[in-house]
Amino acid sequence: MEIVNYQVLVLDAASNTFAAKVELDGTPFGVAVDPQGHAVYVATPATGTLWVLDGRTTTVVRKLAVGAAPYGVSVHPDGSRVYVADAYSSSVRVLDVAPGQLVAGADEITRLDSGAIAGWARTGESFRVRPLRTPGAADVCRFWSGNTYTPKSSHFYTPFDWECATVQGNPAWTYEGTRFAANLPDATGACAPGRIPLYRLYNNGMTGAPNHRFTTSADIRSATVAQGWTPEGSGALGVSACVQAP
Amino acid sequence: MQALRNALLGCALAFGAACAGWPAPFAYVPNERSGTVSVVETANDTVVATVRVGDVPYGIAAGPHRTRVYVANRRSNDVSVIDTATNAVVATVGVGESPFGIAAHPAGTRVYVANAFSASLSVIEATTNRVVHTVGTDPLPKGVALNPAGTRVYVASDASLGVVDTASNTLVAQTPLGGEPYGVAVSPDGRQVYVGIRQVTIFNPIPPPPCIAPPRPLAGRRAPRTRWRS
Repeated sequence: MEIVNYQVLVLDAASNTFAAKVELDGTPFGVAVDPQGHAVYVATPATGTLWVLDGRTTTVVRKLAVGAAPYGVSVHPDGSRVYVADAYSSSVRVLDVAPGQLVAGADEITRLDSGAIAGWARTGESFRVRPLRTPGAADVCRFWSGNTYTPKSSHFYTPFDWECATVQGNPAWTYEGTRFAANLPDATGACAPGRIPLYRLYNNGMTGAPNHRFTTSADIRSATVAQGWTPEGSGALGVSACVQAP
Repeated sequence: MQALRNALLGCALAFGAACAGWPAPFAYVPNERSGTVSVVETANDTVVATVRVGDVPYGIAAGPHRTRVYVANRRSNDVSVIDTATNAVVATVGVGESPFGIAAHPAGTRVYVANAFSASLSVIEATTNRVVHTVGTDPLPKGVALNPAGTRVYVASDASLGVVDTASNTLVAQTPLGGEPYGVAVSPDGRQVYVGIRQVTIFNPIPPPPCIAPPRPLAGRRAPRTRWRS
């Protein structure tokens, strides 16, 4: 009897040891990484699949059906397109890959951008977070107030385990789980070198419903305080997490 | 493999402009069966040229300066060097047996070719188009990739993922793979190397266990009755 496994192995270049692996459903052929390192593309010709892996967490983000026999894969130097050579049809399939689609929560981002979840536009602000269960970081809990405050519902995020537990006991908030992790500030609100503070502000219920704003911009933070919002979190400025610049 | 036998298209693509910030007007696609490379203009996704190369072109790599594309020809055991300005082959470099994977150094100085049947890595000097080093590897090296710093070449062989130091052209590490590898890619920060493998585990049939007499029921004791409350 024989058992066949198909995998992508991830070598840690510093130690030359395999640090992670991803199970696939067919022999992997072409492997390509996008220029920003957000995504890893793997073609399995036998199953006609292009696998999209998150470059940071090495987890499967999506499986795309891309024809009969996808072999070679290449990414455009600007990361916007993926080219897949199909051996059966003697053709190259060109896939449009919107930047940012491949981060944690890709499905949700797609639905927000496409309008499938209506009423949202990108602010242009962003910051980098860490994969779930990163040693030294805390998984961030997400809550939604829609059951109590629709149409003024909002989301609330916290990396503090005590706060996550407290809010889970609050019937106004629905716990939505964790999708990413972040580092914690110290008691004074300071972040470790290489990380920037994520400020948290509370609207004091001014609109008749609770709302929180999270920003890495000191200017946006000041302007929001000027509108009557209260800083929340560690230290005088109210730091809720330590993240990285985009 | 049925898919491979039917393959008209090669298994890799390369871009004529690997430099960040430059446009990438062309993609180069090796066609295994027809012994050619299709040049695709990416602005409108049309084939603008077809370049005749060696026999069974397989691996392909673009040099960083947009001037050269390198094609590993599996059956003719050589590398075709395409001038991207004229789409003509300007040199043919003999390498080892059955060259599969090929990768260009990010500085454009060297090209690395994995020779599957001769278990070696050929190092081609780009200015002279000559093989200047041959590094022995584990059997059946196929995938090859460099880190962005250009200090390491990763060679996926059947037994291991080998690491070749580009300064000394020596194998400095070999990590056991436990499966047949194909493609290799390195993350832009050089910290992760991705390799796809197919791993076959063969189990010998397990002999049936010897007959054991079933345990005898304990005599003289009745099991207590369970009462359920309604």
